[in-house]
Amino acid sequence: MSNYQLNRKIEKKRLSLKNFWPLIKGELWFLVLVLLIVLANSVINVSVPYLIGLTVDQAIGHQNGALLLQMVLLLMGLFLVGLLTIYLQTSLMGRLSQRILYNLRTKLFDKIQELPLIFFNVNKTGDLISRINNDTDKLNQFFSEALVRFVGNAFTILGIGVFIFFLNFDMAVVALSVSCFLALFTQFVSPWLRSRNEASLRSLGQFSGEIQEDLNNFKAIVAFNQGEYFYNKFNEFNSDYFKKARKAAFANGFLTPIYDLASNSASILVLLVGVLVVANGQITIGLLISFMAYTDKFYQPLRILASIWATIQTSLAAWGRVDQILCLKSDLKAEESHSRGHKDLVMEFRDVGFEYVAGKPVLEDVSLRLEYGKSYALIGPTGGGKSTMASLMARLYDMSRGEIFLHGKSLCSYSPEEISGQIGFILQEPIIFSGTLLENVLYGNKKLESYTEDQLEKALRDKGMMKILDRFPDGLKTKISNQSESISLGQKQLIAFLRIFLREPALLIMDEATANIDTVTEQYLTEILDSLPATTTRVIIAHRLNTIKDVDEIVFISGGRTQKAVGYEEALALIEANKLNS
Amino acid sequence: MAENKRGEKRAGNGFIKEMATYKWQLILLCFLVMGSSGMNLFIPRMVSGAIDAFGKGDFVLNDYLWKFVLVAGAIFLVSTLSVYFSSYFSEKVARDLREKIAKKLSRQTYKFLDQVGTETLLTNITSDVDAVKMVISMGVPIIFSSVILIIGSVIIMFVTNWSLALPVVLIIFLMFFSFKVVFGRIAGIFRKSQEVLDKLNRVINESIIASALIRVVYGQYEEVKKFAVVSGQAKDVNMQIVNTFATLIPLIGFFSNLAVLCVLWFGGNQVIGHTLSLGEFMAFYNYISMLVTPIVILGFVSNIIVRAMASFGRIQVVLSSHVAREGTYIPQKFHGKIEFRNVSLVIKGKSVLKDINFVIEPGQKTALIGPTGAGKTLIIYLIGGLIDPTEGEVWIDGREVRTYDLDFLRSKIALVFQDSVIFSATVKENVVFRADLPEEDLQKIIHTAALDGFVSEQKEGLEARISERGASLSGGQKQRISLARALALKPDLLLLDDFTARVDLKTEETIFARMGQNYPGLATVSVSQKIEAVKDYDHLILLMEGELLDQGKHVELMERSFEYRQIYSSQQSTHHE
Repeated sequence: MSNYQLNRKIEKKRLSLKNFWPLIKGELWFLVLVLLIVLANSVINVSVPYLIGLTVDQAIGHQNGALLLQMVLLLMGLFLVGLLTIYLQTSLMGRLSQRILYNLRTKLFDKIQELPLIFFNVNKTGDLISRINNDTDKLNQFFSEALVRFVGNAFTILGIGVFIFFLNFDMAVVALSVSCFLALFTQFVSPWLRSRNEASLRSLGQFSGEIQEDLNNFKAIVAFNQGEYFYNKFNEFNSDYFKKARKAAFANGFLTPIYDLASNSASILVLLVGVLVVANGQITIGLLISFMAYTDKFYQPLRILASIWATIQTSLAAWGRVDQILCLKSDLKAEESHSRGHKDLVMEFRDVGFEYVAGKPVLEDVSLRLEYGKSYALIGPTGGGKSTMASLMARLYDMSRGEIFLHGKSLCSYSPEEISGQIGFILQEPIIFSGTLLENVLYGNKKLESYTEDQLEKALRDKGMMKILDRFPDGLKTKISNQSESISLGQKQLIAFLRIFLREPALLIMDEATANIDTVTEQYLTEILDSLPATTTRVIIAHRLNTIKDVDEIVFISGGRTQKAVGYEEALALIEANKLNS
Repeated sequence: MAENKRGEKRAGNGFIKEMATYKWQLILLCFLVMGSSGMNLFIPRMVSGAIDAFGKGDFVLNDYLWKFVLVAGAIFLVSTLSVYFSSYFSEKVARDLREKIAKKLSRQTYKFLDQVGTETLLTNITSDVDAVKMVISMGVPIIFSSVILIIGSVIIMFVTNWSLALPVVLIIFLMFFSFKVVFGRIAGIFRKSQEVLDKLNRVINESIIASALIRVVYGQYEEVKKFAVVSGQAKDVNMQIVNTFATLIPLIGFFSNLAVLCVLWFGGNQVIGHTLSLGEFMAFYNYISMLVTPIVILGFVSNIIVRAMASFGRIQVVLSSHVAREGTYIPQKFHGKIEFRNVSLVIKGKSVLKDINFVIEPGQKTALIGPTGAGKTLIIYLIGGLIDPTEGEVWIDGREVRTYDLDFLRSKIALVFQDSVIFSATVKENVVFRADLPEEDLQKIIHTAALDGFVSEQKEGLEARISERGASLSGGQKQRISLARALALKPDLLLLDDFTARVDLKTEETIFARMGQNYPGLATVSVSQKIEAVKDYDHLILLMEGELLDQGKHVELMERSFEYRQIYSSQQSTHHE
């Protein structure tokens, strides 16, 4: 079985900006357009101070009123253009970012839907929510803000960097030497920065995993007066997250003082060297002054880059967590459709073994033949492996050893959709979605998808199932939600029953499906079951022996091994003989 | 709309009150941030001083070098300290806020949680708190220093030349007015964006809880569709936010540029008209350019503030919620006489229990019987105090149940849920939470719940970990763990909601035999589908569609209740034991 456990250290893969490429690949032209606008905006930004200087010198200094008017109008025009370019830049980039975020979120959720059930057994709900919502949001910050500002500032830095080399080569070397150290230093600390952010995001994931679970279980927390337990556990995770988040926040902020220091050091160095050079008469003092100004202009955007760099590292850390899910593949085997099983059996188990955890077998060497139209009962002590067998039949898991055949072909050769069309499995825990009864009953049903209330009601009446609807006050319109107590467990089981029954499966598996339904209604359900097509095979797991009295064959499962019981009396005897070992 | 406005204002007031507890830290933070940015102004000044000195020929290298190194070092220290403190402080505020939410929740009722929704609470604790945190780390110091800079330069401008300052101030007012207009609009959108986040949480949560069903019926397509709809809503709402700020930010920049133009135009004309010297004009121009940056920055951080206010308003719903029951009565002894007096219950507009009356005497074994949806579980919840009746009263030992100290009641009445609740923790933690129970008692509980076999099969025994939703356990094992959890409370009254439904007959018999042995005299109220199992009980209550049809002993009900006989015979025909 593959390792679906997400909560482990992410392999030391080199993460860099290149990792974002797949996300923006489709938006390349859009991005080029935005960058052109950014460029236009930078041109305005650079020219405005120059034009203002010109106005002060030429118009105001030389008392030229007409020129002043012209310049003010020109500036006004530029400001208006600037208004437009900044609007476009912010709006277009924001849209792009929201689109990327939408695609990523949706892709993540789709991926999770592809993964097999075991994935959900080893990962916490809240952690997955955190990855889909929080981590993708960190990526959003990169796309909506950091990217444009990064590119814009990088342009400026590059431009000024090249320009000052033309001013004076030696001085430029001095001025930029500090930035080389800075680049090396940044390169050096980036992995550390990322790992601190990753630790913080991981802690947040674990934290929300804990909260979500406790909130889902809040009924028990209230009933057992365990507010204190909840509060204490909450605080353990809260403090851990606080610690990690604090460290990450410091790591994200601490580049700025370093860059300040570098910027100041560069100023001092340039000044010191400059003073010597001026003294030697190589450059004028005027050039030194403007050189100092340009050095400052070079380091200012670099400071901004420092904070953007932290955002980039955070989003890379988030990307690592998101990518972890995107890289997973379903480990359900896909096989060629060889017909090696018996054609006249709906399902066959051949020496099937299964374990959730290696070395802890739940089923061993189970062989079973299910004929068309017959009914079977799986009985045995709790924890003996009955539900596991049912899960294997519906291919919620793949067997660890042996073979399972459906209609004579390997179960692994069917697509999930085909299997769901053939096998109806009423789970032990009935699942309800927030919505109406109609939506719940038709959930996942491709055939009846478009049925209206009236159509479904007619279909149910034709099948003689109206009595079930009587259990719901507003019929198919009844609003239900999973958490609310307005609907009882027995009613939920009725919904689960209807849902599977309407799919008319070839093999119907009921795992204690009627455990919480009263015996009168249960009798009635038995009548409905009897009205199924003669070829439908039924597998029933139940503790109430009366419900399995009339089955064709009884299989006794205990300790992961099966034993056939011939007749009801023998089954009783087996149960009697079975020591309480579970 | 008016309602929302008031909500915004309440959130603002609440936020200020919340922040007031941190006033010294906030002041320190503001000083650190202002100190580090203020000190940065020294360097250019020193540079120009040095160049001036050099020009005059009295430049002493060593002096300046030392000064520079000292100042640059001091700046580095102060700003590092500021970063450290701001990251520590903002995260601490966030932690405290989360802790407050948890504290409140830990004392809340199940009903409250059901109303607010777990999805909303998860957003409250994560995203909403984060939004508030951003105000501390990015908002407050920046606003503080920006506002001081703005006020400072406006005052200086007025003093220098009031006629030039007037149009500038006018434009600043215009700017703040547009801020206000946008805020009024955007606050609601931010709230909506958080609400969509709740929805995303819910869809993901439900799809994970339902993961097995989805794979059985191949419902992936439905889930993907459902998610895409909500994810699309999130995109749309956030687009609205993007658009608003894409308009606001350049507009603010434009206004501040307009102020510069005003100075250029009016000031320039004054210079040309000789009412202002060029030097004075330059000074004024410097002040106005000092004004521009903080205003533009304010535009940027306004985003953070409005978002935080919307989020804080949502958090306040939890923080200001009332803890419903505050009864204090603790009796000397708990007897366990339960009385339902005209109890009715309405859930979401539906009447689910109608005028229920019965008395359960102390120490008795009572069973609730009736068809699916009759209201049996709700009666168990009412006795357990999980929900309150809409009408009528539940009395325990001659007192209304709500007057009791909740801790006391919960230690006397234990409940075994029909749908077992399992935590991803060790077996032991699932049974006793984190209480310290003597080993002996624990063994007795495990033995009674017939879990000894299960525990001894685990390599780690009681310390074996169970995964979320108890995925690797059978239904019966989960139910027995739930029973053990209830027994660990050493209750006087045990409420069993269809406990035996998922436990096989043999185990059921063992458990009840051991319960009689190990906990003699323990009163029980059980929901049961099987009359046979409860035939000998002291008191049977027959319910149907929210009404109490009849009550009494088995023989009495057989004699007078048609419905009872019907249920009994439905079971009798196939009953073999």
